[in-house]
Amino acid sequence: MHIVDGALSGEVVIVGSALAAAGTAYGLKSLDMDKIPQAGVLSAVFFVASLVHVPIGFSSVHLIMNGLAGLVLGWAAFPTLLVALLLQAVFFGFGGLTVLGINALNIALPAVIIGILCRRGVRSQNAKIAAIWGGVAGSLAIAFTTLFVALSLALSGEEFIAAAKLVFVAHIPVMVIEGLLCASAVYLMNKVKPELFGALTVTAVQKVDA
Amino acid sequence: MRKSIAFFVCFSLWATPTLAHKVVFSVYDEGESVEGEVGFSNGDMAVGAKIEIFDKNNQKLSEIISDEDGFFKLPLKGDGPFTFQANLGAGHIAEVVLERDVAISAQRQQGEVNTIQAVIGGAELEKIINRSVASQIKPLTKELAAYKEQNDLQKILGGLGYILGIAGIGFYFAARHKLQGQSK
Repeated sequence: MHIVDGALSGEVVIVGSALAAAGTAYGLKSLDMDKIPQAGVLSAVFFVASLVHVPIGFSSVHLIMNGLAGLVLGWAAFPTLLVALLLQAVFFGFGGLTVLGINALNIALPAVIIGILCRRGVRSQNAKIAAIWGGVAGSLAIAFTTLFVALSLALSGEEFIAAAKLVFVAHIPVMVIEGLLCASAVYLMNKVKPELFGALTVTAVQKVDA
Repeated sequence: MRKSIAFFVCFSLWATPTLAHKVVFSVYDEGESVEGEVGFSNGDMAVGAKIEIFDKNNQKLSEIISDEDGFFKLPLKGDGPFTFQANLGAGHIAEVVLERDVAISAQRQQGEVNTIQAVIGGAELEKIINRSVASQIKPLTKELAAYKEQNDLQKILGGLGYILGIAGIGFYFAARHKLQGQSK
């Protein structure tokens, strides 16, 4: 999923970096003290998940787990995933430093969108319904990410349909696996620590009380 | 008495790190002479180390001092086995045994040279050697490349450590922010 250095045109890289910076700034604002440990853990999950890794053409396929990050963190997924991406680039040579921004955008923006779309679902009192929403979130996050990657490649001169097809098809197994993983994670959290997905509302209530 | 024992224990513990290097000592047989190098496992070469050579009857044949690259070379004829002992001081000693049978090796060498010269010319020989060397180091270069690409546990733990550290920094700023909010 990481696009490597030199695969994209300069404009795409610059615009992507600018948008990623904006998202990160906004995310840092929403990252209050209660959320830092969650952000750390999800950053670590993302960092390690990417080691299950199969190279395909310009990009590469591996577990991503950005859906879960989006569900738990919302906009704070931006700084969280950016940190993990930076470490992956430095330690493992995945992606690269110049394309860090666009990679962060391609992975964190779907996470944020999924968070907005599915958070209501995973808050369900019924753990099974929550798990189904979790599964949808996990798979959909990958689907959106493939779409964004294809879009970045298309804006750099590749034909969109072809690129999108290639990336999407390559990631179908990842969608299945992440859907299952995310569903089981949400099921567990719903049983054990349901307030994880409601962290925002809980703090909002606390602030009102204070 | 107890004090002196404690003192001794402290000092022996203190001395451990300097002994932690392994001595790397290799000797190569060049037919009529022998060369070798001596150093430490951390890459430092042993400068001015005394190397003593003994024959099979444990009689000392000669000794030599290594140069500034930890390198030494000396003429050495006759049958082995020869024992090379290097003493680098501070408990660093190493021993290497060099096997040599003059009659057999001379025979083999002469035989090889005769056959090679009879069958192929110089340029052809060079090509063959190049090819042979290339094929021999191929697995090595592959292994080296794989080693570079390897994502070992240390890298993963390092990454996780960074994440932990960044989370800590995040906590620091969040806490400061909170405290400032309270003081207002």
